[in-house]
Amino acid sequence: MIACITLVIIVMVCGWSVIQVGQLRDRMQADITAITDAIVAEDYDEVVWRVGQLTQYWEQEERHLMHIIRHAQIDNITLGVSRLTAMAVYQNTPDLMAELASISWQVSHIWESEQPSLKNMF
Amino acid sequence: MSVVVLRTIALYLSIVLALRIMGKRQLGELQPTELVVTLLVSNIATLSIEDTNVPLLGSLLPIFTLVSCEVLMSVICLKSNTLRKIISGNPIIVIRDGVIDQKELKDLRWSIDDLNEQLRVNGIFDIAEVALAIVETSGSLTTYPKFANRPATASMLNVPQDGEPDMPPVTIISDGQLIRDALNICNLKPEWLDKVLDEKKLKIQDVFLMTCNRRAQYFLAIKEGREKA
Repeated sequence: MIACITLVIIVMVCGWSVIQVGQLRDRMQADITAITDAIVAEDYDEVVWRVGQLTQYWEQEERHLMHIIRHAQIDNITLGVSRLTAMAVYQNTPDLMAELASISWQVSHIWESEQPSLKNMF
Repeated sequence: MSVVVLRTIALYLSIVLALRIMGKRQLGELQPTELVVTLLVSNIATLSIEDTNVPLLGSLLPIFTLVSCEVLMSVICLKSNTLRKIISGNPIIVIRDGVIDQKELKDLRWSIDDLNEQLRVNGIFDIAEVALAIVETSGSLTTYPKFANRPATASMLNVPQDGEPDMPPVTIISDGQLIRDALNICNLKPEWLDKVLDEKKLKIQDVFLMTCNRRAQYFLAIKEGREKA
């Protein structure tokens, strides 16, 4: 009985982690797309505001992700996110776009790695 | 550094809990699957201790997954003879009537030295004394000596029981703590215990160990400081 309950809890925790990471990916990619659109439209006030929102969101989610993701992967994204504000304020568009692309890829990669697929198992 | 220490403590407690869930069998008689689980659990635990990059759940989840699978496998093996034979194998007779089954020994990849060592562990120094020797699924050897070499029992020697209790002595005081259930097993009352201790001018807290059988024959060890006093 204990074994069955433990397995059920484990499956639920795994499901929760996949859902969490999925939600994070969706939200961050939506924000990054919005920031990119604002850069293209040269609306830098919007860019700065949206970058602030993204940074705040990441800081909140980072604490939960620490429990399920390798810290090195999270640290890499944190490093990238921490640079965004300065780039946005000083309108360093090329580096900002590159950093956003890098963060988007890393978040997608974390989500893909969490999927229970044969590719990830092997 | 403090993180490493805290993780070690958390993992230690988790592994103790995991072993408790797996039960006493795990510690006493390792079947192949149980050995695998034990090795894996210890290796997985070190991942989080050695590398603080790895989240604690990265070790706890696999450990408890293994434990749960092992317990479920044990339950299924309990119900299914076939699966039990597939997973654990069968006990193998290696000696019959003092004759070694060399083919079985070869299949087990046991040398004659391995066999002799296991026989000595069983207190046997002469293979000719062995009626039956069985290698269990856990890898240990159990032996059944020939009649002439078996220890004599009271019934063989027609020694009357003469009121000798069938229950072994039980511990009634352990490190200054009274175990009431043990007194009931011995059919003794607390008043008897008080009388015994009063005669020796002792209190329960002064006693390190007291055992007793149903004939009220007891063994008493006093705590060291109290002895000197």
